[in-house]
Amino acid sequence: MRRMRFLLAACMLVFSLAACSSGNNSGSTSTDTSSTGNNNKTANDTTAEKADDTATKNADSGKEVVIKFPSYKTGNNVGAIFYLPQIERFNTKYAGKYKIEIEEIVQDEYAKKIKLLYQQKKLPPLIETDKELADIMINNGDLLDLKPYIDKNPDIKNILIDDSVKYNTDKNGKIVSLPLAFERPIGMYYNKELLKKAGINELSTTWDGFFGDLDKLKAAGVTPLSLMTGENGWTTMLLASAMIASEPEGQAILTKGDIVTNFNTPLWINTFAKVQKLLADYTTKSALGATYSIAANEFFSENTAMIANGPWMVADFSNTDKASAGFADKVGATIYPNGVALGSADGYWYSIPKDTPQEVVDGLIEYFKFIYSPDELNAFLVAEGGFAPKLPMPDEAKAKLNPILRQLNDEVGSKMKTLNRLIYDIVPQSVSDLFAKNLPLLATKDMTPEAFCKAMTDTAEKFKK
Amino acid sequence: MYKYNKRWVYLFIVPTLIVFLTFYFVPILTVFTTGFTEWNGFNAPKFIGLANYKMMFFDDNSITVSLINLLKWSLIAAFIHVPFGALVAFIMYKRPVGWRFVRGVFMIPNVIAVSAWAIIYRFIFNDQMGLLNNFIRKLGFSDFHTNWFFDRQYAFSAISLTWVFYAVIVTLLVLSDLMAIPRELHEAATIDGATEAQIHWRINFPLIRGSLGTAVILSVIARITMFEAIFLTTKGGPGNSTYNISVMLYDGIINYQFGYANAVATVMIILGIGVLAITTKVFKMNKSVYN
Repeated sequence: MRRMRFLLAACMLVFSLAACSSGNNSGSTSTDTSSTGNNNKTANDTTAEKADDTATKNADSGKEVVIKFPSYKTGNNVGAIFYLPQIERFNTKYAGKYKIEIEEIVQDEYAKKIKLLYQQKKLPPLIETDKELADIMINNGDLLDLKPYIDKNPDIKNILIDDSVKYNTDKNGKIVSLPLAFERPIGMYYNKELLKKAGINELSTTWDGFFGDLDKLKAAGVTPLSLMTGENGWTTMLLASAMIASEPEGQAILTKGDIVTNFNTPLWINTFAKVQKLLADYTTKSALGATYSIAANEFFSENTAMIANGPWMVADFSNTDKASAGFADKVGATIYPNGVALGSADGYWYSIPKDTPQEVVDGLIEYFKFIYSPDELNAFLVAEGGFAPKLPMPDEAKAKLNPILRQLNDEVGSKMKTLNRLIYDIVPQSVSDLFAKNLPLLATKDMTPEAFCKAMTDTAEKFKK
Repeated sequence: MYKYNKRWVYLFIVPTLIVFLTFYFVPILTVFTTGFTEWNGFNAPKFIGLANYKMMFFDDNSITVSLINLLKWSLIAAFIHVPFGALVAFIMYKRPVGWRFVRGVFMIPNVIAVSAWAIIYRFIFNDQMGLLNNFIRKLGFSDFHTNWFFDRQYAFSAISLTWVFYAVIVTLLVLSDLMAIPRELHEAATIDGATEAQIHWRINFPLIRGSLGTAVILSVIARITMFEAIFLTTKGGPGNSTYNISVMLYDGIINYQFGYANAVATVMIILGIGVLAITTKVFKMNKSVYN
């Protein structure tokens, strides 16, 4: 009997320990006192008025709400240069009321982590998701409706891009992720000195002319392009997207934005025939299997004359850890032939899971207000490029603009005919993965453009939902 | 007294049973049953019959490519990996001059995780700064450029090199079996005039066939489940050059097709059982070594 009692006591001890550990189910949010918010409380039935009340109560109680979430804009990520100091500025402004703590994570792991946390029902209070996971979350009603908060805050509402609001509004009228207030067109950067060496003063505005420029560069002993076939094939995919956008049929597909599953058409095959030519004739040997850092390094080292990328890259040109001093002075920026720029205002950005404690939601809404305040938004655009259609940049901010970003903005203003989605925006995840896996074969001509397109079609069909 | 002991026996079996049911039986059952469902991993699974298996076997050639690669890797495992590990075990057993050096050189890299090796090999085989290419360029081939993991010609061999000479499990299995051979057998054979080679072929090899069989089973099953080395280097590419069934499973997961992924996992389990059965037969592992 005594043994049984001992066993029972031991079991109770084990269960109580297990119970203690399972209570910490989130680990993502906390306050600095023991009275944390009720994690089971749903935000769906709260209104912005209730939210304001809670925020006021929190503020009155003097408890600092700590908001912890993972972010990939850390470490070597180009976004970290602006993002982390901005978080610090927020923490300083709201000291004693809200504090954001970032869990640093590399970009490749971020999406996987969010998926895993979603499966475990342990999402952090602020997430960025890919389209496919976002669609599942939206269908399951797992994202907080931001509409009441946006309606309540005209400072945010008035600067949001209408297309982005439309994209982020679900069939029930809920705004499921923070719409964008800015656009950042993706273009091309070129080395002026290397272009000059080939006798090119200005890049051609047609694709035929562009290929002619590539030939001139090659003839002058300059490798024209920094391309990559490793990771997600980003810089190569951008050029392919620009080529697709230059064709009326392609532009219609990109404008519509529906997921494409059939690539067995002349449009796609011809595009990848051109991509094959670029990979075979106009890039470095390192492009085979190159990651973004290798492709970028070829440009920074002046081994190549051009690289396609977004304005967030500009800060790196004057980073002496990556490029030699004075390199930025040699760089010019433009958009793609046929007046094409890439990028769009639709897409999901910051979402808040619906079970997030109210005081944390309030803190995040304050964060959204902060990053969309005129000072911060302009500072962001000065640092990373782009423009806010509903918040014209003041002259003093323009004066601070990096000359390369200013040139890109000018090119967008004077030459841009269309702003288009990327290929990755209109293909399933399975196709994006396959694209990068098959690019090396396209580069080495082990795969024809027809076979490349067929493989993408087969994969898209296979994993079609 | 007997009844009292029996009660305790059952009591002590309970934790093992719970662990077995929780971590083995239930997951295998879940994998098997959800293989017949459409399941995105977040919502409730929906029964769809054999659709996942149809998708796996008939919608593209992924499974064919995976099985061909598995067969090639299994042959490499059986004919290079295991014999190499066994050879090191023999060196350790015979202890010739320099055996401690062999032990150090062999054992130290073997304690490094496969994932770490994959990353190290990524640098060794790197086109620009890789040890291998630089070495070849130093030999006078200044224009030499091969990105081993991204060239269809070399990717399969490059992946194979990340594991083929790391055979510490084989060595330990074979060495323990060798050391368990009664000395009297060797002494009797020596008295009867047997040569060293005859002792190896007639006594040692037959007596370690069980551990060799086990080593082949473990090695081939490791090829079925091989993931880190591939994922961290080629992700199955270029094209399908290094694709295998584990990457197939992963593809199912990242495309939110958990039902499909579990159907693939079921095939993996069946393959594992097949390997076990064939190897047991080939190495006569179910027969006593002393008959």
